[in-house]
Amino acid sequence: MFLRRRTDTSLSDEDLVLRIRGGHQASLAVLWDRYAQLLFGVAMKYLKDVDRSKDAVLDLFTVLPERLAKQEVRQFRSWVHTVMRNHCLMELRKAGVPMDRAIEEMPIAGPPVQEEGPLLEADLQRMEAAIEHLDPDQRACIRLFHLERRSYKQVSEQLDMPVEQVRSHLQNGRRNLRIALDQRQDRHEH
Amino acid sequence: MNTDASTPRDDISPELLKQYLRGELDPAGEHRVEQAMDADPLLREAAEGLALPGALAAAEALRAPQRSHWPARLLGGGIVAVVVVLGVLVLRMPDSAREVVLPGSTPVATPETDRPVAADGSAATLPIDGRDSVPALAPGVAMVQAEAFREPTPVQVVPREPAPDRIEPVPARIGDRPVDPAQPTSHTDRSSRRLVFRHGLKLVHPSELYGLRVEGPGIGGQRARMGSADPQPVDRLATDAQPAPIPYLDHMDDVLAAFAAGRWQRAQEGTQVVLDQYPEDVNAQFYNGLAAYELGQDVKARRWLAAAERNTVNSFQEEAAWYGALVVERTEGAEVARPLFERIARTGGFYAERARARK
Repeated sequence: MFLRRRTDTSLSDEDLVLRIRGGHQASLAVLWDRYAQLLFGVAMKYLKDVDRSKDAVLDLFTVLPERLAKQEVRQFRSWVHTVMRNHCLMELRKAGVPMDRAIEEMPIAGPPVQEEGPLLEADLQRMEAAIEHLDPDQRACIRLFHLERRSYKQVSEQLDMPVEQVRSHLQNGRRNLRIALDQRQDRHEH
Repeated sequence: MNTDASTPRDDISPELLKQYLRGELDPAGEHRVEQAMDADPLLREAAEGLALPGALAAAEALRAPQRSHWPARLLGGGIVAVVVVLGVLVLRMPDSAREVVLPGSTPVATPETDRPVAADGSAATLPIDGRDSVPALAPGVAMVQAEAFREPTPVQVVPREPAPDRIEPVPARIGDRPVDPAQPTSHTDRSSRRLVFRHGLKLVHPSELYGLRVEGPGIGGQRARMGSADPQPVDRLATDAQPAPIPYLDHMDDVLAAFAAGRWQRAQEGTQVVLDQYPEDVNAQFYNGLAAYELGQDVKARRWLAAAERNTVNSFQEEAAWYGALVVERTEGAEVARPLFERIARTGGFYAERARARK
């Protein structure tokens, strides 16, 4: 008689990975629930094809126990994202997709390497002086999104600019605030 | 909000993301999802893909596959797989251990092996990324395996089957270089990293940074500016507001040309364009820092040289350390810089001799 075991869905990804390494296949179902649709979305972004994206997700989860057994994975979320992205890029290459297209698919925010952490809302709230020195569009976007907690759509409507431009101003504004904070830190240390 | 990367993100579940994409959230909810996307590349890319036509509906089907919703070919393949596997098991089981397997039950990987077996009982390997070899599965078995991720409805315990022998894979080839599966490419292996030289200056080839075969990412020139006194009629560093992306190496070639000519400001502008889009690009970090050093922008020089020095792609580590020490010497004096030069001298690298002379 098969005894059904309930896997705790509140376990961290790392704990689930350890269980899968130990042969606990039911933990794979939890990771499936957490990540299958997200990874499908990632695959769609690159492959632009529903069937190929579905296959990509199934292929990934099919080999996942074996890969986890062979590799040490400290942060499953970023690791599995990188695996899916690399798989998609290889698929595009095999399909003879011109490299420019694959290049253009690269995210504006950067390649899959070590990324900076998020700029916390609390830090932004302490940065009034630094925000005042930003470019006007960046300043407006930062204030509306982070301080007034508006959505992209709301910011876009209020400032009469496309959502993509709002995101770009936010990205550049955050980067400039980080630089300004570093400079302030340097001045303080000197 | 839990920021531990390894714990479940129950605040932005796949369901919440789909609600966002369907426009079902209020502005506060939208902001919450967007804020999470800013910090989470997986969420961000997933949202981009799921926003494509037909993707959301397809994702729903992926999430909760019902047996009747699978394509007929997969069901047919699954039935074949069931029959074959049951036949193998029945033939190989000793009489005393034989158990009745209910019709319609699906073969699952046993708890001991967790290893899927192809419908014909064999296992041929198929390289995925040149480093691993994994068993190739018939579509039907893939479907079965996906279903087996969930707690199955009551099935009989089947005797353990020995794992199939693995066939060594043919190494995949990237560009002209065969990739040995036993030697995974490592961005920390400085000696084996592919470099190019332009105008006598070193660059890490973009294929090493971005995993792409040839040219690396395209660079948009939105931030570049043309100096008013610049005599050159064609200048890819100075572009219109929304230019088409240009190949990475072409862009960096212009940057290094400016650098080699001592046009530090122009070189800095060109590297900044790259950093705006790829802040971890070690080439741009190093040459931006070096240009800042030449321009006397010490704070900026320290920041970008330090970034290049600690970058996981360590091809500029020695150079960045050297110039970083020079900046410290210039801004804080020889005493403060001495330990930095001593460390460089101990490494025995290219700058060791010069560092010893400065101690």
